[in-house]
Amino acid sequence: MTTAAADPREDLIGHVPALRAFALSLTRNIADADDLVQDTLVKAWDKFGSFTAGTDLRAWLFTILRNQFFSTKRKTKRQVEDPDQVHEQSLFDSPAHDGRLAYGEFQRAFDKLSPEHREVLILVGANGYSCEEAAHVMGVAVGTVKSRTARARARLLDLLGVQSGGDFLPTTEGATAAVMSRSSIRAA
Amino acid sequence: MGSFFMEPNAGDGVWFHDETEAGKKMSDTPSQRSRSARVPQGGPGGTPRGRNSTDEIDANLKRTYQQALDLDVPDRFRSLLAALKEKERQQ
Repeated sequence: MTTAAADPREDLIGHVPALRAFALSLTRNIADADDLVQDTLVKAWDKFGSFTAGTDLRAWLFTILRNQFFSTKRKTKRQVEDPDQVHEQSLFDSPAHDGRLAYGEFQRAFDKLSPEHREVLILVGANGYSCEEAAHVMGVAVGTVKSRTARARARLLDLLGVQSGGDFLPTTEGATAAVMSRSSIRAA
Repeated sequence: MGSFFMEPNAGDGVWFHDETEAGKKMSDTPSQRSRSARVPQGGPGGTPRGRNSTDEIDANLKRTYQQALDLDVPDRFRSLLAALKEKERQQ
């Protein structure tokens, strides 16, 4: 059984994996993600007086992280990207298994989304936050989260060549897709 | 002219997914075909066809997030927090 530390700052290290995962979804580059997490930890430490004990520390850290990311992005006026996708490939190439091709297509499409779209999809779709919780982290209205999530999903489906509600069938695997769409043998 | 023979159950399990034969299974009755067409099975790469695209997206998002969560935490973060703590103690 784990208990909260007397000083909540002792819990910070336990949130680092989640912070890195969230940062990576924004930067798509592990070096930039780690720098972003470092900046977040320093700011969190300095501003810890503004954290309300007993509330969601992770959400509070996520807010600092995403504000730092978008603030820096606005200042630099440049896209944060990994043009050669070296890090993305090294991180996300998985061992061969069922669905690998579809996942690879998904990763490439996810990379092409805007950071704002990746953010809302990770918070709601992956991290499991409700729209209300995501809105709190992002500092926007709940309706904005809902509409942004819908647009992000639609954009992702568009990049994957899938119609909303349809099958997850990347168009770039054209030959395979064509064969599979003509006929398939159901496993006994 | 040769004749074409087919075993009685030769069509069991064979599905057609092109536009004209969508969802028909050779051994199904018309009512079964109608039901079957809404529940297609088995897609490319092991991805179950017919799963809602939103479910597929969320599954891949969770996988992406989980892979990042599973990365080892670099020592730099433990060192950073220790340094912040020490700096505060000295002040």
